[in-house]
Amino acid sequence: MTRVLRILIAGLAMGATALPGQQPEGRWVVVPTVGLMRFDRTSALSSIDEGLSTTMWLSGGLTGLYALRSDLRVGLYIEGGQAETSPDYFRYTLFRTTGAYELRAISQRVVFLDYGVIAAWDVPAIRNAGPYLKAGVGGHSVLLDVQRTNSTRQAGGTEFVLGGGLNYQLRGNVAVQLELLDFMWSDWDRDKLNTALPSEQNTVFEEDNPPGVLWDKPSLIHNLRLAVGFKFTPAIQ
Amino acid sequence: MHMTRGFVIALGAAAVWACAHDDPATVIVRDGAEAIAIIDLTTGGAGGFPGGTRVTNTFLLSGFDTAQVDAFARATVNPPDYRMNSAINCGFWTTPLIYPPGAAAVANYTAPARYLPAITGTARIIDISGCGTAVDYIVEGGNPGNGFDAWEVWHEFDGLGPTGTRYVEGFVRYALQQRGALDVAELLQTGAVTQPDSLVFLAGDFNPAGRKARDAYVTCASASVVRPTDGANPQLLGSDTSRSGRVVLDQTACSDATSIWTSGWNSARAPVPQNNNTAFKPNQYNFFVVWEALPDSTPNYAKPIYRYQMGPLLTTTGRVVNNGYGPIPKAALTASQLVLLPGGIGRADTVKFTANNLVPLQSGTTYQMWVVQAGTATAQRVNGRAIRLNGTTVVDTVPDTEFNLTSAMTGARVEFDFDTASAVAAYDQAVLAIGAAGTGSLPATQPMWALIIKPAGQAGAASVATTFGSFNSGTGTVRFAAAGSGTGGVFGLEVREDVKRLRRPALGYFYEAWLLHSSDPTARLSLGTLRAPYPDQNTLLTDADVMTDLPLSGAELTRAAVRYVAGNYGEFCEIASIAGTPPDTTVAAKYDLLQVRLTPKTAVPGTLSPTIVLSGGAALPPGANTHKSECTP
Repeated sequence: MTRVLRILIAGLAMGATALPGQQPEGRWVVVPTVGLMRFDRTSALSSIDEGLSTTMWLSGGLTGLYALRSDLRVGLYIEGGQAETSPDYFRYTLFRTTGAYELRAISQRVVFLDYGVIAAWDVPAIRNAGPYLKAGVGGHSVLLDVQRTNSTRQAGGTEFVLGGGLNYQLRGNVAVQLELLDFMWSDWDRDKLNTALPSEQNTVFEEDNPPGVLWDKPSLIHNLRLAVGFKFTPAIQ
Repeated sequence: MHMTRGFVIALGAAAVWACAHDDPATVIVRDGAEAIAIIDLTTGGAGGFPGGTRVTNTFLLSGFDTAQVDAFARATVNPPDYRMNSAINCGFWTTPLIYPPGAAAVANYTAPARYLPAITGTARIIDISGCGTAVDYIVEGGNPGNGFDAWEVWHEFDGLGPTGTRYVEGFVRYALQQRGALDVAELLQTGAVTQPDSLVFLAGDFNPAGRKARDAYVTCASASVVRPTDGANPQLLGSDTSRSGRVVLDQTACSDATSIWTSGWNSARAPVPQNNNTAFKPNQYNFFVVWEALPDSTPNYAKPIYRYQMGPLLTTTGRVVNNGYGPIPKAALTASQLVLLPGGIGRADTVKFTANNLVPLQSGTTYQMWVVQAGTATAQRVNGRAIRLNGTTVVDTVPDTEFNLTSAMTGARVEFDFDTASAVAAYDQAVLAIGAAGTGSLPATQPMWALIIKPAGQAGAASVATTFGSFNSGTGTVRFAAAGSGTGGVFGLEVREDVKRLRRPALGYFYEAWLLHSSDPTARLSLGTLRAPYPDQNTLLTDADVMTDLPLSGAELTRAAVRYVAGNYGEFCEIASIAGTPPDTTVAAKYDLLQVRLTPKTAVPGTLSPTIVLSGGAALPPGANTHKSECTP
């Protein structure tokens, strides 16, 4: 994964370094980002370990913003990445063979996507430091492992985005951003990530199931993403 | 250009990353064991329920309920007096016919003179034709003795009027005009009739037709055969004139394909009805009557000289009269006969109540025999004796109906005289209760009971099986039966079973799980009381007999669990052999059965109850093979 990460960052950097020659500026701003997503503890994409969860997943994103005013931009965003479900939130599967049961913990790789419309507003009081706030609304999709689930099912719903960041102006129209966003997934049902059919789930040795089975299942969960982005304004040809 | 290339590289890397896979399945291991030896529980091995018999010497008649349907048990599908001809002559020996004189051959027979209009004269059935016994036959159409499709009505009389007196016979459909009690019921109970009932024609159902001419035993080819008339009542069946006070009336009535009658008892259009509550079909009759005839051979309905009831009585609205089945009773039944009939009400004179599959109770608690008036608080502990048993072997006798057992006893037979108790109240059940020794009131735990009366509407039997369950003083009585299933096994050092749909334990009992060996009665390990299912596994179901909350659902324990954690594998395994060079140790299971048994709460702790509800085979836990050093030498 480290090699993949390096390639991803290098690609984004190559795009950013090409920008100074693209003059004059337009009203569109493009921000490719790379970051880490820490999913909500009840999402089944995190962990049930005590303390702060360190289970984080690499994510990449792209945001396109149109400047309505000098301090207000609106646009579209897409964010995505891959994660692995934690088996600690689901009943184990119970396999029965001749004379013996076997319990198995099953997880799966999933692809998560966030997308929607978003607005960014530069905080005026401390504009020199480049802080901004973001708010958006859209949807989220978690694409299940086709091989594991033997289907093309996905889990998804509405999402709200709230957060902010800092711009560090490099030169001209190029800036580096450090951004923290809360991707709030609505209509979330972690059981949709369970690969085991109800008939395959362990209801015999219930005490052996992981404790996360009994965790709350809020329908609105908070997924925090910390990312670094390269903000630039494409030149008008 | 540079930017485009950069994005392509980044997207390609992302795609490779998104499609990456690894094996996401992890086997759960406990105490060194990956596999769980399955133990499935079923009711297949259920048994050993507390049970026994209630035996009485006899029932004493205390009343009779004629309102019961067929209170005297006289209803039959076939006609009354449906039997083989007792004569060896006349061709009917191997086939049935209506023969009122009875199975025993008699030289003559006089029918009971019951109902009004009264029988006149002194007619008597005799044998004139040489059949060997009294000739009083109604023979079905197609009877092999005749060999053709015609019903034959054949009677031979003496005691009639002077020569030249004419008599005519026929089938009649009478209704009953009842006065006071039904004559049949009175006759069967007392042998006498207080007010005779009358036989009358139903309104609009008097339509005499048929043959008034001289009788003729002929086939359907003859003009003298009777061809029944649709709707006739009475259906006349020929006549004859007495000679020296005697007459032979033998007439055939056609039942071939052209007739409104069909051959055979209970055939589609047989003239003789079923002798039960089945509604009459058209052209069916309940009496055969011989009248003295008027000069034109018309019956003189006021002068019947012989009358036989061959079907049930009808009300004046055409319904069958309950208990009004033929034949007319000749004598009263005895009290011992009456009490066993559906209408009979009686109580046992003495009772022997045998109870098996009992277990020793804790000190201060006893088995007690009570008589109870079901549905009320009326109860009394009985005086008598208890013969304590080991199987069927008598161990000793206790001069009391309150007793306990030792480990060498499995049951008892309690004997008492019911008459003594019955003087106090109308007790109807004998109940074996479990309660504090010497208690003055009926204990709540009433696991076994039996009826000690003969109520109306039920058959009375000298010996009946006792019932096991919760008697509840006769209100909300629940019979216990094995039900449910379970699955689970031994996972590491833990025995776990998920048990579903057990019946609520009998009041005063609880479920207990055991590991046992089918061929070694000394090998036993109590796994304790059943528990509530996860996540309430710390709740013991000792009081499941009285619980009202989940997992109890009405009469059912919807879900329960067996849970036992062993200290080490030595509790499950033993060394089977050590052989070879270098020595190799094989281990064997200590137990091959897991059973859920029902036990009295007041049983001596550690007692293995004989009452098996669920049972399943158990194998050596897989972890034992990796922990051989822990197995018992």
